[in-house]
Amino acid sequence: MTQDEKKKVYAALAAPFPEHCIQRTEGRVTGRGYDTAGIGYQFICNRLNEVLGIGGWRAHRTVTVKGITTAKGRTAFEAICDLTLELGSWENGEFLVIAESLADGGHTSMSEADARKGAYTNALKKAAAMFGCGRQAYEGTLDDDSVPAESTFEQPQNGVTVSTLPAQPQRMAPATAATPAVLPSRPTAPSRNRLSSKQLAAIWAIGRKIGYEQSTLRTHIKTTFGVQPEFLSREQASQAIGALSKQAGNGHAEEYERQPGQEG
Amino acid sequence: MARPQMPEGLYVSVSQVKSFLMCPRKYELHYILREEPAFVPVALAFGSAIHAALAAHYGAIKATGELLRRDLVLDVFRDEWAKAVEGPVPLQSDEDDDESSMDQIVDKGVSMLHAFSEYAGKMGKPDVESVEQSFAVSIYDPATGEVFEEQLVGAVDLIVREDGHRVIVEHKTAAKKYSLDQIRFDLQPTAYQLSARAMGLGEVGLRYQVITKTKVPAIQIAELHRDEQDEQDFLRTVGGVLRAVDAGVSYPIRGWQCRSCPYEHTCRGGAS
Repeated sequence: MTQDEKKKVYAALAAPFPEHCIQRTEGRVTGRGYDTAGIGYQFICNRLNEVLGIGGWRAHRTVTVKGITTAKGRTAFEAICDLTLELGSWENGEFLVIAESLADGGHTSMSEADARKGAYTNALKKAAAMFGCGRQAYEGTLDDDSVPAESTFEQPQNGVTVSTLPAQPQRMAPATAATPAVLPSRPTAPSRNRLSSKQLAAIWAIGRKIGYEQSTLRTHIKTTFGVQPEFLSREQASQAIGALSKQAGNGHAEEYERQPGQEG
Repeated sequence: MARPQMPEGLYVSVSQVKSFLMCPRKYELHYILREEPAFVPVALAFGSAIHAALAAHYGAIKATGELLRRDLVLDVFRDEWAKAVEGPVPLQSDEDDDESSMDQIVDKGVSMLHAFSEYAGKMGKPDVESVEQSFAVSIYDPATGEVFEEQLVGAVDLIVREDGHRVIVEHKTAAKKYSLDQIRFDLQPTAYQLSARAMGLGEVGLRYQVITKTKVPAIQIAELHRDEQDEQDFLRTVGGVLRAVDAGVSYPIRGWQCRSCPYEHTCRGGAS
């Protein structure tokens, strides 16, 4: 595989997933206390199959499970999966590896089967993300754990909810591979300064709260900053939100100032 | 028929991109400053009225399985045109247009819709899946993978099913048939192809259905093809425009486009 071919493979693997592939969970439902968003496992597999072809990848895994006792005294299972994802091709009955990534995943559930399954999918998604596939989940665009916990999930007794473990750094294929798999470095692009969607939504929301018609608010923003609200800079948007919040008599400006990925 | 309302968020449309590419100053006056246009170009209002009539035609097929009577299609056109004429912003012809009276323009539209009806009658009833289908999908920078805050939005005129495949059909009215370059490089079908995939519609066919404003109106059917490189080019163009807007690029491009620009009256006065 040439460098150009590798770049194309990487670009295809790393392309963002459409909205319907993103799975979201609510902390109050899962019991984890935080909301999550990630790419569905099958969509990751689909992407690998579509880009690399059937037989163009494989995964080795070792799953360990231990029983734990929940805060309410029930038995639960904590599974950890060590996984190696290999990209390559089958030649004469042998799988020739061109690149591999290592990842650990973890999951706790009342059911051992679900704990095993969750740990595996968790690890595979993390390993695939090292090749760019589903990387958005780990870049801050999305949260990093998309596996919805079973409705029966309960907090482990030690109070620590570990759903993922730190991943191992990616390592390249051994020298026996036909071509070393060096992933292209990502070019940098000028950072953007336009306000975020959240900032814009906050401006509209606070404006409505104050009683502004949209047209009046537009005029107000344009008079103050010289542009329509959609074209404010991030700094200008912060100023506008601060001023509007003050006018609304609340101190909620900070909650609108978080950047994407800081939602927690 | 009014186009769907745009979402209350950050978005970018093919029209915005084309506007910037034609003249960054026009983009600034239209979108960033929202200056009042001096007029609505006749061609724009005329095209919208024809679109409304075609949407009624295909909407009836989808809803009832039957063709809408031709006189009713013509009524939709006349009503939409009347709304444009009576609207708050006056209509104005491009200097390149002939000095057609408003009545002559209506006659031209009727003549074009007759030509379309003849064509549609010969083709039989299509399997209409949707009419005026709006979309809002995420887009990204192909060089960096960065997902833009702005969603790509738009509305597809028509989606039909042919031999088990979806075909996106875009209606166009034009002074003459589309050239090969227009067919090959227009950004709009590329945006539709990307959006269709993002909406879960899979791989779609792309088609332009052009009705010419020639003395004897003609129907031009152009099957379009867009490949991965076209999609990458499109995304690169959109990203470039977004970054240029961020950077405050708003220089004017003086030329033929100024003659029919609704912002010409405020353009030379500096930033508003």
